[in-house]
This record gives sequence, C-alpha cells and structure tokens, in this order.
Amino acid sequence: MREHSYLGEFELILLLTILRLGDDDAYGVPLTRELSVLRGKDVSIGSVYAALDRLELKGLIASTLGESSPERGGRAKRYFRVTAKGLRSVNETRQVLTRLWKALPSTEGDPA
Amino acid sequence: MRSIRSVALAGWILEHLTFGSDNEALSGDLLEEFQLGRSALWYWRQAMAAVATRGLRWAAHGFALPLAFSAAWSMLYPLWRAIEQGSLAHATFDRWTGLIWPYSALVDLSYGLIPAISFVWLGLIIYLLLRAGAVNGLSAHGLVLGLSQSLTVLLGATITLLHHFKHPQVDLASMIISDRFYSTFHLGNISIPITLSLLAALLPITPGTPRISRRRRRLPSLIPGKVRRMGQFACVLLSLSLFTSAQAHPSEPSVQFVPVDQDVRLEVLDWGGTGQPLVFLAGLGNDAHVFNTFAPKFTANHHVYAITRRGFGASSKPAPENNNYAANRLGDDVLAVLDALKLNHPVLVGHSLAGEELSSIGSRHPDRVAGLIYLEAGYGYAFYDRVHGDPIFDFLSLEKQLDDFMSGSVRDDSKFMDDLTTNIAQLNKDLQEYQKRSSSGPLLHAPRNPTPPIIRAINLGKQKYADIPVPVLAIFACPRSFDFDPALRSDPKAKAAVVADNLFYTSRQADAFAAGVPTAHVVRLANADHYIFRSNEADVIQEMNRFLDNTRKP
Repeated sequence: MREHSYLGEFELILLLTILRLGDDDAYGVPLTRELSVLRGKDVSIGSVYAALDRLELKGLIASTLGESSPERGGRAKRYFRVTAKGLRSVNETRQVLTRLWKALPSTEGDPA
Repeated sequence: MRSIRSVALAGWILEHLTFGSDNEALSGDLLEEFQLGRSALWYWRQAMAAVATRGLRWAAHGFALPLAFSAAWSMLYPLWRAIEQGSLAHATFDRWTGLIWPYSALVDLSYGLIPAISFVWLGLIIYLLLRAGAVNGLSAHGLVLGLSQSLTVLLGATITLLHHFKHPQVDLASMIISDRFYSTFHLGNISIPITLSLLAALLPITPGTPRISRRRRRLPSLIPGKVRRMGQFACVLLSLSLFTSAQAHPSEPSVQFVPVDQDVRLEVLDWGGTGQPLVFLAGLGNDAHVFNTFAPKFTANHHVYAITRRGFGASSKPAPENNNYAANRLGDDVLAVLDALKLNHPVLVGHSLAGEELSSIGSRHPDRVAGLIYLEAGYGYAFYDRVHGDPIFDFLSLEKQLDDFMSGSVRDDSKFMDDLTTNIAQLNKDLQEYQKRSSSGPLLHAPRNPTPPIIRAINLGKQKYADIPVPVLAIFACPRSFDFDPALRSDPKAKAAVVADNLFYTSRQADAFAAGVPTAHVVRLANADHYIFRSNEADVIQEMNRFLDNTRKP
C-alpha cells in the first residue's frame, strides 16, 4: 500500500489559497490577506512563510523570485505555485476528509 | 510614500539577524503592507513574530546536524591526542619544557591547546567536505569568523572547566605553572570544549544562520563534485587511519592508577619492554609524561615505567596535612607502586627533586632496588653535605628542634642543648657563606608569588639523607647552561658570574656526593640543561646503559 502524508489544516488551506489566487498573485501579501479573511482573524506573515517553507521542503509547492518595486524598498516578491505532487496531495486529503465527513452525524439546525 | 525610518530597525533585524531561509521577500511583503497603511506597531509585531518563528524552526532542524557532528567528532579527540602526544607535540614542545616561568606556562598552555585547536579545525574541514553542497555560501570571511569563534569558545570553555575542576588546595596559577594538570589530563579527556568549539566554527556556515552581509543567496558549491567525492573518500580513510595508528602507536604508554595510601592513587605509565624493571620519577612540577620521549628508548632491555608524584598531574592531590608530602612519605608512595606492580629490584631513575624519593628508598630500604640513577637530582634534598652544610636543611633542622622543644617532646635537656648549639653554629656558618657569596646581590629571594600549598609542603618536608648504600649513577649539569634565561642573555658579565657560581657549588655538591656515597659513579656534563635527559640525551643514554649493564650482572 502506498504511503500517504496527509496535510494539516493550515497547510491544506494554504495550498488551496495558492491555487485560488493563481500563479500571478500568489505571494506573501495577498496570501496572508486571503488567509486572514478565510479564517476570520489576523494571520502573521511569519507563520505563513514558515508553513510555505515547510511545504516547499516537502516538494508540494515551488517558489520563484519576481520583480521588485519601490513600495517594497526594492525587495523582490516571492511567488508560489502548487506542484503536481502538491495537487495530488490535496486531492488525496480531500478524498479522506470526504469519507470521514460522510460519517458525520447531523445536528439540530443543520441545513437539510 | 510613508517614511520607513520608524520601521527600518525591525526590517534590518529581520533581514540580517534572523535564522532560517532568505527573508528578502518576507521583508518586502511587510514593507508593502506598511506602505498601504499598516501601523509601525503592526510592522514591528509581525517582524518580531517572524524572527521568533524562524529561530525556533532553525533550532529544531538546522542546529541538530552540526551539534551531532560536533559531539561525534569530539569522541575522536582521545585518538588525536594519542597520535600527537607520541610524535607531533613532543617533537615541538619537549625541548622548551625547561624554560623558566612565565615562558614555561606558555609552553604548557600551547601544549594543551594547539592539539585541540588543530583537531577542531580538522573537524571543520571534514564537515565542509562532507556537506560541501549544503553549506551557507562558503566564503573566506565566513571561515575566518567560524575559526575565530571556535578559538574564543575553546578558550572560554577551557578556563571555565579549569575553574570547575580545580582542587581546593591548588590554586589556578599553580596548576598552570607547576604541572600539566589541565593540558594533559582534563582537556584530553573532556570533549565538551571540543564540541562547543567545533559547533561555533560550524554555525556560520550552517544554512539558516544569520549573516551580516549584503549577499544572502546560497552560492553553488565552490568545490566540484569529483573533488568533493575524493574529499569524502579521504575523510573516511583519515578517520580509519586515525583509529588504527592510535591503536598501533609504539611509544604510547598504557596508563593505570595505583592506590598507595588512603584515597591516594598515583598515575603510572607503562611503556612495556622486557627485562629488569626501570622506573622513572619526575621532578617537581612535572608528571610522568615528561619522560614520554626518553623512557621508551630503554624498552629493548627493560620493562619501563614512570610514576607521577602525588599532588601533580593526574595523580591524587590530597590536601597537605600531617607531613603527607614529606620526603619519606613520597618515597613510600614509590615503594607502594613497586609492591602493587610486583616489581622486584628495579632501577629507579629520578629527575631533579625525585632525588629525594631515590635517597629515601636507598637509605631506608637498600635491598628493594638494584640501583639508583640521579639525573640532575643529587642536590641537597638527595644528599646532605655534612662538611659544608646547607642553609635550607639546617634551618629546617633547627625549626624541628624548636618545635620539639615547644611541644614538650624533648626528653634529654643536655643533648637537646648540645644539638641546638651545633645547629645554630652550622646555620650561622651557612649564612655567613651565603652572605659572602651574594655580595653582588641576594641569592635568596623571597617568593614573588605565594607558594602553592603542595609545593610548600614538599619544601618543608625535605629530609637529610647521607647514607645511600646501593649502586648509584649521579649525573650533574656542571656547570648548568643558562642560555634560556632571558635576563642573562643580554648581560654576558652577569651570565659569566652566574655560571662561575653554579660551577663552584655544583662541583662541590658532586664532589661531596662522590665522597659520601662510595658506591656512586658521578658524571659531570658541562653546559647541560637542568632537563639533562633532553639537552644531552645521547650522553645520558650512554651513561645509563653502561650503569644498567653493570647492575644486571650477577
């Protein structure tokens, strides 16, 4: 049986956010903003980069340095994209979670 | 555009002092948010959170490998020590051992630290070769920083351990001056300073370590793959040869600790060999390792040992009390070693102060030894010249008489008064001669620094020996060489006076020894160093072999 390494919650959200933003917009600032909106609270840029480094080490994402701009003090942007391995990992995690959610008992007030 | 001055420091810290990968993009993101209206407080909070997150992550991952390598490498230090002790270090340092203080301390420190430093730097080179593709942009200034850090940490750790291990009765200065307590024992056996030192050298080249420079991108390896693989292969060979040559080194003695008294164990070195036992005893301030080069030259016909006196080197260092450093006590320690190792009729070889152990045994237990060899060791502590006296020994005798008187242990008042009168007269004569001799300046100097307690106890525990009925070879430096004395080197007139004085009194002592010990063969080697077995090695070996041949004959 092939070994899977399923993604943690934050990693999964991060990968999905990168996919959602697309290759042209997935760098630190929009990623952090999107994550803050999705989670309903401020997310630290440092923790986002720590997770991104981890994902890159696992080969689930890749990064390239982009253009610099004056408002960034001449510092380059680092763009992230999900690799094929990352996409496969997202899909596998989705399948597992879907199976688990099917067994979730409904509670009062749940939408029908 | 908003001024970035208020957040410049946070940005600099984030870019230059943060562990982890490249922070340029992160810093740019923060600046972009700041320019779009975020507060300076927000910027600072985000920057510091990033610094903390990266630091923790680096400590958990990036730190582990250098630490593991440093600890593992430090385990090899005893092997390195074994190799250099037999060849490298002694070839370099042994000829300087006779230097006077403070130069002697420098030699001892160098003797201990240089092997450690070279070992740490070798570890760094091996790490670089093994991890060539993953270092943090190998550069000259990175290497210099690493090596400087490692030296600083090594010195710091050495001094810390020295303080930690010091005996309550032995102060730091005396340990450094008078024996190789740390340099040959503790440093050789404790790997903590080595680990810390190597780690300090590795950190600047470890990925993720903060670097205060403008170029922060990882550089490709400066070492081509083929060379790297050859280097890795060479490292494996080097490690194997380190191990095998340490095992097979012929002149490396085995070390054992022999109990000689309650809570007192002496370090005994054994170079092996077959035949009559030959036991070397070191002079004041030295340990048995002082014979590391000389002693193995006798293993063809003898089983060769050397003993470190109590209070020095790796031997036990009991606090001075109840005459436990008196000459006969030190002689009994040697006898206890002979008993424990079952050494029958050995020849004992003593350098300098070890003459008192030789005479203690030779005068009290002449049947226990086949012969005694005094290497610059036949002075007052080994043979008391009854004709000319000796101010130190006569003073000690007088002091003991007064002590007996004050403690009420005098039984015969008339004899006591006769002895006291004789001793006072002798001491008076000694001092008059000393006064005449020192007309150009006092010969007896008050100690410049407080004498360490153990050395003081040994000085006060000297005894008079005059009857030594065993075969003896006594080699004197007559006159002694003063070439190494920096104070005399630039003053030929003063040097000539000192040499003449030394020639007169050494000749007189050698004459007295020859007259007082009829079984002695006295040899005088002109312009020899006090460490005569080094300065005149060939002559000393020749004389010793001639003497040893005779003692072996039935």
